[in-house]
Amino acid sequence: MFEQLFLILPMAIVVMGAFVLLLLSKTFSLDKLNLVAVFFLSLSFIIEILRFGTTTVCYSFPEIFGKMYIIDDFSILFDLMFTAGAILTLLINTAYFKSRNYYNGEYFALILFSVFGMMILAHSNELVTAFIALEIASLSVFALVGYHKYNKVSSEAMMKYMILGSMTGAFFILGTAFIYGAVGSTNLEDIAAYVNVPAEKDLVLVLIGGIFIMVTILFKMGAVPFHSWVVDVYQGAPFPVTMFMASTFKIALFAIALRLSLIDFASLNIVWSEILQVITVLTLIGGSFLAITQKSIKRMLAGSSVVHSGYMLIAYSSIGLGSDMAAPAIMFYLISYFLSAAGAFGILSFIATGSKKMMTYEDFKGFSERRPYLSAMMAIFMLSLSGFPSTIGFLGKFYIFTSAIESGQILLAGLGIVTAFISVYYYFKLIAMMYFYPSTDQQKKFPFDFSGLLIGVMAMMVIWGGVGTSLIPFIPGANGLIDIAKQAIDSLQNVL
Amino acid sequence: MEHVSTTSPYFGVFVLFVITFGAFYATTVAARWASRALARKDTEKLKLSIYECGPEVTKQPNRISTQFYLFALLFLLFDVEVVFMFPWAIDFKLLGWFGFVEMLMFILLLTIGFIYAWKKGALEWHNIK
Amino acid sequence: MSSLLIWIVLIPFASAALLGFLHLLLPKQRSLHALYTVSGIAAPFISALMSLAVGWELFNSSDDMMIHAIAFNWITLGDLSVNVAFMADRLTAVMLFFITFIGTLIHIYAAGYMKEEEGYGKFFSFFNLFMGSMLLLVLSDNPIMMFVGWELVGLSSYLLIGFYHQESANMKAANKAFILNRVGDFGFIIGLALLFTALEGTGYTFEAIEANITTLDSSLVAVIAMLLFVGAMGKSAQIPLYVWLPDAMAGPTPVSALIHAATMVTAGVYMVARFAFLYNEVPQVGVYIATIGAVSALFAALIASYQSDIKKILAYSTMSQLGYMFIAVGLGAYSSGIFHVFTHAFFKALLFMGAGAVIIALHHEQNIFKMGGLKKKLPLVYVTMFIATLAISGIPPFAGFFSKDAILAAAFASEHYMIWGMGTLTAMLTAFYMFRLLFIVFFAEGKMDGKLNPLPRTMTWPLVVLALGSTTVGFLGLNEAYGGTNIFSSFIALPDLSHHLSHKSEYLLGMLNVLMAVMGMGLAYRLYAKSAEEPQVNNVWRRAVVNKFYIDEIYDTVIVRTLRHLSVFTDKIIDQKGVDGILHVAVSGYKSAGAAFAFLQNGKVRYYALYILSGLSVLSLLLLNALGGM
Repeated sequence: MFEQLFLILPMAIVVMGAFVLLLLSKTFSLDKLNLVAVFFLSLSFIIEILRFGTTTVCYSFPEIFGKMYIIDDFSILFDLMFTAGAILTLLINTAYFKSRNYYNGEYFALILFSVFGMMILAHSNELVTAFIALEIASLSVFALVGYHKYNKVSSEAMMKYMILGSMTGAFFILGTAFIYGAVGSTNLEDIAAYVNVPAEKDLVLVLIGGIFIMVTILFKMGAVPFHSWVVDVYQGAPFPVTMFMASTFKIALFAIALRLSLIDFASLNIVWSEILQVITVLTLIGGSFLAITQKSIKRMLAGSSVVHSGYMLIAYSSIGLGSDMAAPAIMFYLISYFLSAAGAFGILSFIATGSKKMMTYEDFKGFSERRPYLSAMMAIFMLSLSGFPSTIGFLGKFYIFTSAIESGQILLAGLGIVTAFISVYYYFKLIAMMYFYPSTDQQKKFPFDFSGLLIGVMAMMVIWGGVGTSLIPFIPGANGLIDIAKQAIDSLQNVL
Repeated sequence: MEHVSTTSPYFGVFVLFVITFGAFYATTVAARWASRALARKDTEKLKLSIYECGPEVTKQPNRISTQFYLFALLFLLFDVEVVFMFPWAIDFKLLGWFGFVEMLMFILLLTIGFIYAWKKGALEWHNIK
Repeated sequence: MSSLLIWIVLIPFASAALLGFLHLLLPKQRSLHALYTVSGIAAPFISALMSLAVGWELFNSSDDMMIHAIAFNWITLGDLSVNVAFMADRLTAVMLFFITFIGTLIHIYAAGYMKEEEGYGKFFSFFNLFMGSMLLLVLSDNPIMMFVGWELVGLSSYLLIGFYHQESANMKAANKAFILNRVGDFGFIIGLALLFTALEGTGYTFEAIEANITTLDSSLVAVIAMLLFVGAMGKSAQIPLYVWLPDAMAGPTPVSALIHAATMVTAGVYMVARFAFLYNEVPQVGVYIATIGAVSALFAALIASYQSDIKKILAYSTMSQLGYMFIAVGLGAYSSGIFHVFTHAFFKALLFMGAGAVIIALHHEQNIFKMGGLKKKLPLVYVTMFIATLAISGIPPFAGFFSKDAILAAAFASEHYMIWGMGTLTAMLTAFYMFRLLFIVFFAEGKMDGKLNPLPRTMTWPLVVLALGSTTVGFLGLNEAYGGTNIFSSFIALPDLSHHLSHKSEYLLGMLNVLMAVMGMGLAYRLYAKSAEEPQVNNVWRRAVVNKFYIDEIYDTVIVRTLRHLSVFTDKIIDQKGVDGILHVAVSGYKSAGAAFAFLQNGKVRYYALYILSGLSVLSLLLLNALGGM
């Protein structure tokens, strides 16, 4: 009984933290609430990090919930990223929410609820649970996007996101219904057993259901042609929320997507790989079209996040074509994207604290003269996002392209490399703006605060993840991270 | 359906994409155009008024405070949650202590929500913040 | 014992980091000088003690004994697995001994030489960095680590040549050294890559390569050997990549003594000796190396005879002596080559330090024709310099005689008489230009007025120690003909290609060498002992020699200018018109396509829903298509 409770402790801590924050939202000041939220998240994070690699695959309360809720290294790794993402979002933006008057106590509770939903999503071993978890996470994020409720752009973004999100959410449940119709169960292992046994069975319903589920997943990760919300919503949301969405929420979808494609539909992947390839091509090209035309950094990063989904889709379709490297490559890429995007958005919101500017390319002219350290970190994140060697982003792309070539998708790998070159244009434009133009404002600032330090640490990790070895204990470098990714995927595949 | 096969691997799929996309777009535009063209354009007063479940809005005798909606929502929420207790009550003996604890936890969660609503001042008239 | 190897390398690096950090933090703090001195000198000293321990261990064990130490795994990529690992065999032990021993002495000397300088801490930081890099180079277990050390010594050499960075000429010299070394390194790294490719992942340590070298095609081995030697040419200043060495004298004199005379420049010789197993496979490449060495030796000796800058004379002399070493290693007489490296380190360091003492005493005067008559004023420097000059000229029983004699005997015995002849001629020129220097500086009548700078003790005592060394170390290599047992070459145990030479001819050769040296000495005495005039540049030959055969100018015209024109052409025409043009068209095309795509992004949620639905329907159609094919 208590062992079982211990298994769900990290999730329980997060949701209890959310309740505590709700109850305290009127009495405590924002600063204290922030610390309370960080406290609960870090508690969960620490428990998970102790548990990573030590637990065998098991289920929580199997006699009550069946095999709904699974605990393995794969989900724990995702939990780590979710909690870390939320912690970073909260800590980097301590100054931001104080500078805006529309923040109140529920903001923290919503973040924690959203993290809770994502954690359940990573752990869910059953389609209905996954749907509920997805909706918990999404609803919290909807509310967060429209948090600035007197701002038209923010509210409009929230409406758009909610309408489209609920529409595609409906597809998920529809797909689940189809699959249930064919298999008679929504449990992933039952589905896998049904699909993977080579007998004359009617797979049409399963396939159609799978397509519907895939549409939801593709929508949430922003693949073309389901991408249209991305730029508007990222633009409309407050900076911390954009950071949270781009770095953390985007990752959550891959938890369920990888679980589905590696366990359930492993034998059907071949049917879908062509479809996925086309989506990948569209996403890569469309995303870079979106990113290249933007003037605002926030919108550019939104567009580029579509491109990054495209890279991960390359590896995603390689899974079906029998590349062993592909799934760890996605995991590694997720980690690398998480670090770089959280850092880039973190810097944006950090800067936005003091100004009401739109954060266009123009605003960054001569930024290096004003804030040399911040602009160096921004340059590091841009280099990593564009996949420049010696950053973690390069290794991420390297593994992705390797997996694509391994599975024979030379064309896709080539296109990926071409779009990576194109991405250099819009990422390096920012670096050029920061370094090669004179500053309009001559004053130099070296404020030292905790948020800046945190961003600095992330920049170090981006570099360390690209060049580091396992020299320093407890801090995984480049090869340590890929080993972690492989370990997570192994735990996932050992279920069967 | 016939297999689309060309030399390039994705080409057929692209053609499909473009065609479907175009067809969808064309259909939507056509539908909008058609409904606009075919609609009767007489302007009756009631037709132009805001839809409010039948009664004429303009003739509403008294205006209802939005506070009612909040109350109604909260009532509905807690009322519906109570429904979950019926199946538990029927199988009370079968579920035993475990079921009892579970139900206590459920009620605890509800109570948290209730306290939150209370503290937010949602239960007080004209005191919404 | 094995972890000692790691500490030998680590301690100088740690000291360099500490000093560099302190210097950055408190650049103007003079009270830190004591700390800089202690830490800067202690690091090579501790390394020296540990090297002695390592050497003793090796001396007391069998001659193929190797000490290994693996620090950590550096790279693992598929088959490629490179460890940061150290290895010491007897060759390493010899290198270790003289690098740390002479290094310590020069550090002590530098404490006196540099004491007035602004960047005292910076200097010792760089100096220790060099020590660490050089030790890394000789201690490395695999060619990749060796290359790391190879590059790091290049870097520290660059930093130290440009130490007085306020003057642009010094920075130019530093850049020249760095770039020319890069040219050599380019060959080196290609050679290594080729070697590793050919070995097909059968191991990356020297031992593994040695074990597998016979499986390779000999023409391939020849190419690899040539490419590796290109690296050695750059590092060890051989024709045609030598032009940086004379300019490198722009650095402080201790730097010239340690880096550009005793240690770093011999890295090329060490590398060839380390790859002896590889060069033994392809003797024809060895002959080529020996020829390059002989030509360099003669050429540099000719130039040195007409120079007037004391440090440049010594620089050309260094190049000439390096030529001797390459003659030896090229002809397979590795132990003789390393022996010359060993003895040369003593007397050449001594010469440079003596020159440095003179320069300091004369208030930074470097032109020998403005010196003179210092015999009385600087007796200690005079005596030690005299010993070093005797040593380098090959007068028995000083160190240089034995090593040089061994090399020339090997050249004679291997029947490459041309090389031998050039070597013997160079021996005479060596004696000539060295005694010319000595006579002009110490004997000829003085032209300097005023008081000399007093020399601190830290600058004079190392001279005495080195003078003792220059006198005695030669006996380590006393061979049978002279009644010894050649302790050195039996200790170092390198795979020499042996040629037999009767004792009688060895005596003859030795006598010939002494005769040549005495002839050079006599000539110098006749010309310069009484009064020294700057040489008149009055005929074509002299003009050519004084201007160093116009090699710098030729390089400038042929390579630098051509490259500059080419790069201007590439920049202005190909890049701006061609590549940029295409790029601009591509970018603008892409941007307009992007704008067209962004048109779909019209901000209306009903259109967005439409896209999603149409996407869904396309997916369904595709599925239908796929199912139809099933």
